[in-house]
Amino acid sequence: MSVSKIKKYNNDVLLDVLNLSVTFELKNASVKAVDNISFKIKRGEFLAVVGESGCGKSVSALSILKLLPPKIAKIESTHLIFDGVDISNWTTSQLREIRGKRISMIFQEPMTSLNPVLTIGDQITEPLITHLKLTANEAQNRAIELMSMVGIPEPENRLNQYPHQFSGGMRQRVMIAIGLACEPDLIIADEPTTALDVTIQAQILELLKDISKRLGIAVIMITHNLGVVAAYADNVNVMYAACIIETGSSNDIFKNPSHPYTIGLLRSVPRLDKSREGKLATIYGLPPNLMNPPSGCRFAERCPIYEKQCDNSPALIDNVTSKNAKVACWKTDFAKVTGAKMYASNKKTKKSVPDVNATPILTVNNLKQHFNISLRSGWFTSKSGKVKAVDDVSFSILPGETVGLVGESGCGKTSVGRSILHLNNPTNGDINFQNISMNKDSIALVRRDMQVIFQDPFSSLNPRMTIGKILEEPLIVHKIINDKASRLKRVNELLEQVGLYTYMADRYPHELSGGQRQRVGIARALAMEPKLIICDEPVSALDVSVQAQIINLLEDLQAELGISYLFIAHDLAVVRHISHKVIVMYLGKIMEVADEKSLYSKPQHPYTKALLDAAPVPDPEIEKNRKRTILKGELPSPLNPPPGCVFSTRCPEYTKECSKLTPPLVKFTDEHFVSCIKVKEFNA
Amino acid sequence: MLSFKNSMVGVIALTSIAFSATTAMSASCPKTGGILKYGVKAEPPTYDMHGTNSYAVNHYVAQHYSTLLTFDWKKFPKLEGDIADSWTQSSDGLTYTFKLKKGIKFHDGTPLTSADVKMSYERMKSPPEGVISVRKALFGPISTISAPDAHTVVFKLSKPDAFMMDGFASPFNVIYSVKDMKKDPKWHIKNINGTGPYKFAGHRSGEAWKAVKYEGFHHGDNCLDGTEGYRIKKLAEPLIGGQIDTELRGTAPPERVMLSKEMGDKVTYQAKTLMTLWVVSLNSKTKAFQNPKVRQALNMCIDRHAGLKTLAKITFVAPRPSGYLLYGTEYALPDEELYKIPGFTKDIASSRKEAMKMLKEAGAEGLEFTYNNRTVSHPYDHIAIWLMSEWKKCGLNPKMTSNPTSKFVKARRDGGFDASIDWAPSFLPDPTLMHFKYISADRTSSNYSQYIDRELDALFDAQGGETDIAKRKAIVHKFEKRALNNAWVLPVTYTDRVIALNSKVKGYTIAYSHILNNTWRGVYLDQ
Amino acid sequence: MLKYAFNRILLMIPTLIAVAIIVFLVLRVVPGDIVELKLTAEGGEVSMEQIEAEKKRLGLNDPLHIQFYNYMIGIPQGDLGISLWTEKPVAEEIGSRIGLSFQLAIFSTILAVLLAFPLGTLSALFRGTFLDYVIRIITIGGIAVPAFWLGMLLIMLVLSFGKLPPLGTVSFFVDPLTNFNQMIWPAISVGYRYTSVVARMLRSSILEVLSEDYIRTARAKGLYERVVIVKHGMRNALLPTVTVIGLEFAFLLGGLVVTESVFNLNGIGKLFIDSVIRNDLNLLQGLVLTVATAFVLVNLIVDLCYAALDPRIRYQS
Repeated sequence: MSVSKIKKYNNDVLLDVLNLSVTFELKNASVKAVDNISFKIKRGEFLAVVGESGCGKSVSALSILKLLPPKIAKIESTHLIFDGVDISNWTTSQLREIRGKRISMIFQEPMTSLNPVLTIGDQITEPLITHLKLTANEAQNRAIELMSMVGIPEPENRLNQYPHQFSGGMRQRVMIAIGLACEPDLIIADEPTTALDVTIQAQILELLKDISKRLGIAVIMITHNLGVVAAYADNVNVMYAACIIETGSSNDIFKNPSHPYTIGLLRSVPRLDKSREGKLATIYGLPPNLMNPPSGCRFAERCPIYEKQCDNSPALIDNVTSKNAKVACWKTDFAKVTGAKMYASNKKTKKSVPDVNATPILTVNNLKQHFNISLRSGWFTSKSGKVKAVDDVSFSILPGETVGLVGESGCGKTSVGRSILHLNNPTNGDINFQNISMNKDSIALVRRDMQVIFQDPFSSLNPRMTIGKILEEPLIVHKIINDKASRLKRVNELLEQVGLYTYMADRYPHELSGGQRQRVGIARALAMEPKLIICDEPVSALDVSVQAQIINLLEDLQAELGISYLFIAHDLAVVRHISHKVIVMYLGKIMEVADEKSLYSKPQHPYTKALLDAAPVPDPEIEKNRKRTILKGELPSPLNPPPGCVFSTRCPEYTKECSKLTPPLVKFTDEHFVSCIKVKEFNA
Repeated sequence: MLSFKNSMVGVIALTSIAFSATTAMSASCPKTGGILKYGVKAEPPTYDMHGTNSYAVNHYVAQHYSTLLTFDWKKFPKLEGDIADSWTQSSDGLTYTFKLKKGIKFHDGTPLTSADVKMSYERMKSPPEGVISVRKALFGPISTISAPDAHTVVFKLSKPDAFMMDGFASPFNVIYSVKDMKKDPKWHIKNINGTGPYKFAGHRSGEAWKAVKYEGFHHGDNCLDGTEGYRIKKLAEPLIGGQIDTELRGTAPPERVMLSKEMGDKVTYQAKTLMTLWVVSLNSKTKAFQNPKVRQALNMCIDRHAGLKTLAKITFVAPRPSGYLLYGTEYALPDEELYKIPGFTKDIASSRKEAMKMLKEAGAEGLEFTYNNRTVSHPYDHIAIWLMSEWKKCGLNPKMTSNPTSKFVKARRDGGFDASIDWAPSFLPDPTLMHFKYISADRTSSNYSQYIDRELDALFDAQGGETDIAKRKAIVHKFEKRALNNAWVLPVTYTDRVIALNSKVKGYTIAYSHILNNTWRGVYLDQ
Repeated sequence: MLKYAFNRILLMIPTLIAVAIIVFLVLRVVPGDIVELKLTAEGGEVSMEQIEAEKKRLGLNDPLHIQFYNYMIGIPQGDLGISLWTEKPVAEEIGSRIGLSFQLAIFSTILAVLLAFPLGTLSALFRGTFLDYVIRIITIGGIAVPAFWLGMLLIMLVLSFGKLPPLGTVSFFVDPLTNFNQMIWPAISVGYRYTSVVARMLRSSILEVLSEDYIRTARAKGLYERVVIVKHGMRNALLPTVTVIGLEFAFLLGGLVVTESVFNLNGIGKLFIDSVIRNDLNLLQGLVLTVATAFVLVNLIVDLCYAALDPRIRYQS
C-alpha cells in the first residue's frame, strides 16, 4: 500500500500488535528485550503498561515506530496493524510520515528530550510544517494555540524562548504540545512524569487525560507508578521480563490481580491512604537476565507458589474472572484465592514504638542554611543572591524513632540532612547530638554515631574497591577492629545483616544490582554501629519490589538495633510507611509536623493537603471518586521567595493577610504543629 | 683598546709604481638580459657597508656600490681599478694618489667626484655621532685625505702600511655620495644610492631584495636585467625547484650529493678554500689550561690527518691539517715542518699515548671541561662531535654546551667557557691579517683566550716591518711555531667553500672568500 | 549578546597587560646581546667603546624601569618600539609580514573546516564501516605527523613534479594563481593537524549528540532524517567542535613558526625564529603581544560563536 494514500479508516481498533519481539544484537550476546507480545488498543482508550525497569515496556513502545537504533535492534512481528494498515514492514521513511502526525510520543526526560539550541516555537512548529505543510505563520499561530491548550502562560512571548528557560513541568507541557500538534490518533507517553514532582505530575497527567478525552486520542502510557495507573488508565498491561503476563481493565488488575507477580507488585507499594500495618510484601530476588531467560514461566524463580508445571511456559490466556482480561499463569486460580498471603513476609508486625519520654538523640534548633550564589558576573558589577535553602527549622529525633522529611524538590530537605552532617556548615542554629553541641570541630567526635545513606548507590561506592574493601575501610579508619581476621568476620556479618551473601565481598559495585548496592550502602553505615542514620532518598532510584525490600530491611534493623532514622524522601507513601513522625517542608520552611497518623488522616496545612491530593493511590475505585485540588503554578524561585507565608502564591486558601506575616509553627495538638494562620489551634 | 693600526708598522719599500687600468672600459657581455635569482641565508642588520662585516649585507648591497680598487678575480690577488682609473704610491709609502674615472654617476644622477671619495673614507676613519664604522682601526694610519681636483684623491699616511692597498679594494669600503651623507650621516643605514652595476629596487624585510640593471655603469659589464635575492633557510630544495639560481656562501657535501642527483648537468660547482680558519680557543682563565702540557695534550689527541679527511665528506672543511696560515700559500709553514709540531703528526697512536702521559704528569687525567658550541649544523655541530670523540679517546671529559648565536657570542666574549669553537676570517693570505688574532689580548679584541705573550707581539711587529720576503718568512715561521706550541688556540682547519650554480649562470669566478666578488659583474645567463 | 561581547572584550585587556609584563620580564633574563651579535658575530674588530656607544644609542643601557615605562606607555599608542636589528619600527616589521601569516592561517582554517566537516560527519554516520576506519586512520596521522616534516615531504612531492613556486610573497589580489601555488602546500602542512583534530572531535560529538534524547524526539516527530541530522544534530555537535577550533588555533600558530621556515615564507612565524636568534628583544615583545592578541581574539570569536550557537550561554547574563 502506498504511503501517500493513507487515510483515516476510523477503525475501532486503532492499533493491533501481534507477536511483537525485539532482539538487541550486542557484540557478544543477543538480548530479547520484548518477547512475543500482543495487545490491542481502541480509539480513545487510555492504556497503561506497567512493569519494573528492564521489563521491556519502553522498548516495545519505541519499536512500534522503529525508533530503536536500527543496527542493533531487530524488530519482528506477525503484524502491526495501525488503523487498518499493517505497518510492520514499513521502512523508516514510510514510518516517518506517520511519526508525529498520527502517532506521537512523549518521553520521560523533559530536561533532555528538547533540543537545547532551538527555540520552543521552532520545535513545536516543526511537525506542523513537515506534516501539515503549514506556512511558518500558520504554524506559529497553531503553536500559540497549542501552548495555551497545554497551559503555558504567555505563549506569544515564550515561543521564542529556549528549553533552558523553562522548568521541568513546563518542558513536559511543551512535549505534550508537540505530541498534540498534528492531532494524532495515538500518543505513546513513556514515563512522562517520572522526573517531576508530585504536584506537577498531577498537573501533567490531568492535562494529558483531559486533552486525550476531549480530542479522542488513544494513549499508551508506560509507567512504573501503580498509583498513576489506578488514577488514569482504562486498561493495563503488566509486563515482566519482556512478556506481558497479565492484562485487563484497571479495575480487574487492582481488585482481582490474577498473576502472583501482579499481586506481589501491588502489595510491595506502601499505601498513602493506609497506615503502616506491617511489613511490605517483597518479591524475592531479581528479574531474570534476559540474555539467558528461563525456559518456563519467567517468574517461576521468584514465585512463592512455584510448582513443577511452571517449568513450562504459560500462555497468555483469557482470564475467567473478567472478560477481556488475560493472564499467563498456570496457578492463577490458586493465586487469586491466596492473594497477598502467598508472600510470607506479609505478616502483621507492630511498628516499633520509640519511648516518647526519652531524651532526643538529635535536636535541631533554628537551623539555617543560606547559600550565596553569583547570579551574573560582569566586569564591573557582580550580583549575587542569597538562597535560604533551610530557614529556621527545628525538630528532634528520639532514640529508635524514624522522622520522615518530605517535600518537593528544592524544598530544602536534603540541605537539612547535609547541614546536620556538616557536609555544608550551617549558617546558623544549634544542632545537638547525644548532648554534644555540634559544630565543625566536634563533628568528628560524633561521625561514628551518625551515618548517612545516599540516593544513588552507584556513585557513592568507589568503583575500584571490592565490596569487602568498602565495608572494611571504615573499620580500619576509625580503628574499630584492629585485627584483619575479626574485621573480615565483621564484614561477613554485615553482609548477612543486610541480606547479601558473604561471597559478594569479592565483587565490585558494578557487578551488583541497584538494590544490592543500596544494601551495601546500608551495611557500610551499619559498620560503625551508628545511633542515627540519615537516609537521603534511599529508595527513590529503585524499582517497587526492590524498594520494598530495602524499606523492610531498614525497619528490621531499627527493631533489632534501635537505630534512629532521619528519612528524607519525596514519596509521601514511603514516608508514611516508615516514619513515626513526619515533617513537611516547603521552600526551606517547615509547613507541618505531626505523627504519621494524624498528618495523613487529618492534614491541616493547605500544602500538605494538596500534596496528598496530588499523589495517586493504587486503587482505581478510590481514585475514580476522588476530587483533587490540583495546585496551580510552580515552586517560586528560592532566590526571591514570596513575602509572608512562602506558600501563599499557590495556596488555594490565600487571603491578603498571608502575604503580611510569616506564620509561626503553632501547636495544633500535642503531636501536631502547623505553620498557617488559617489553622487555629485545636485546643485554643 | 688597542687595535689594528699599531700593528701596521711595516714599511713598504716599493718605489713609486704607476699602475695602469687593467680592465678594458667595457668588458664584453656574451649574453645580456634575464633576472638572476640568488639565495641568502641571513638577514642584513643594516644597509650601511661601512658599519658591518656581515656577509648578508655584502651579498645584497655590494652590487649597488663601487670601491676605489677591486681585484682581478682570475688573477687574485692582483688589484685593478674600480672607480680609480690609475693610482700611484710614493716611494716612502706614505702617499697614495688616485685618479678617478670620469663620467661616473650615482644611481640618482649625481656625478661622482673626488669629494665623495674623501668624505666616504673620512666617514669610515672617524665616523660621526651615531654612525658605526667597523673599519675605523684599519684607516687609523691615514692622516689626511685631500681632493686637489674633482678627479684626484690623495691619501697621506702617518706611517707606511703594507695592508693599505688591499683596504682600498675591500668590498665593504664603498663610496657614498656627499649629498646623501650630508643629508643625514645615518642615511645609508636605511637607504642606498651608489655607482655599482645594479640599482636598488626594493627590499622586503626577511624576504627579498630586488635590483635592476644600472645603465650608466662605468664598466659596462652588468649583463643582467636585474637580480633578485631571496632569504632562504636551506639551499638544496630552492635550487632544485628553480626558486634560486645560486647561493654564494657555500654548500655542504651532503647537499651537493642531492643537488647532483636531482639536477645532473643543470648544476655546476666552483670550489676554493675560504680563508676562514676554524680554531678552538682555550680559556687562559681555566686553571688546568694554564699548564702548557695540558693544552698540548688536548691538541695531540686530535687525529687531523684521518679525521679531517672524513669530516670533509660531511661538512665544508678542508680535508687536511693546517697551521694558522693557509696551507700552500707563500708564508705558510711547509708540511714537513708543520707535521713535527705536537698535534700535527701522522702517528696518532703514539701522539695520543704521549698526550695521556702528559695529562697524567700534569694531574689532569680525565679532565672535565666545557666546550662552547654554536647551534648551527654546518660546520659547528660536525666539528664539535668530531672533537668530542677525539678528546674522549684520551680519556678526557669534555662537556658540550650548545648556544644560539647571541648567547654563544656573549659567552665567547665574557670568557664563559673552557674551550670554545672560534674562527679567524681573512680575505688575503697575509700574515699581518692571519696572525693578528694570536697576539696578546690587550692588543686585539679577537683573542678570546685572553692570554698575553709579548714575544709573539714582538715577532708580529717584526714581520710587519720586514720587507725582505725571505727574512719576513723566517720571522713568520718563528711566530707560527711558537703560537702552535703554545697551543692556546688549536687550529682545526680551513674552510672548503664550494658554491653551486645553476648551469645557465656563466661568467662568475669564485674568490677566496664569500665576501668577495658579489657584485655580479660579468655574470650572465646562458638560456 | 552585545553586553556579553563587550564584557569579553574588556576581559581581554588585563590578559594582554599580563602578557606584556611577563614577556618584558622574561626576555630581560635571556642572555645574549644583539649589538655584539650585529657587529662581531661575523668576525671583525670592533672596540668595546663602539659597542657601548651603539647600545646607548639603541637605549639598551637605560635602567630597566625606564625601558619598561617606555615600552608600556608605547603599547596603547601602537608604538612597539624599533627593531634592534633593522631599526625599523616593530609595528612595520610585523605589519609587513602579518598579512601572509594571516592568509596562511585563514587558508588552513578554511581547508581544515572544509575537509573536517565532511570527514567527521561521514565518519560518524558510517561508524564502524570501512569508510570510518579509513577516515580515522587519515586523521590520526594528522595528529601524529609534525607539520614541518609533512612540509618537507610536500616539498619533495612538488619537486618530483617540477618547479617550486617562486619565492617572495605575491599578493592574492595581484596574482591569485601564484599566490595559491605558494600558499596551498604550507596550508596543507599546517592544516592537516587542524583538519584531523576537528574531524575527530566532530565525529565523536556527532555520535554523542545522535544518541541524545532530543534526537529521538526529533525522529519521533516525523522529521526527515536529513533535518534530524543537520538541524538537530549538527548544531549541537558544533558546540564542542567550535571550542576545539579555537584551541587548535594555538597549535596553528605554532605550526606556522616551523612551516614558514620550511617553505621560506616571510611571515611572522619566521620572523619569530629570526628575532629569537638575533635576540631582538623589542621585536620579540611585539611578536608575542601580537600573537597573544590574535589568540585572545580568536578565542573571543569562538566564544561569541558559541554564544550564538548555544542559547544557554547567550541568556546567562
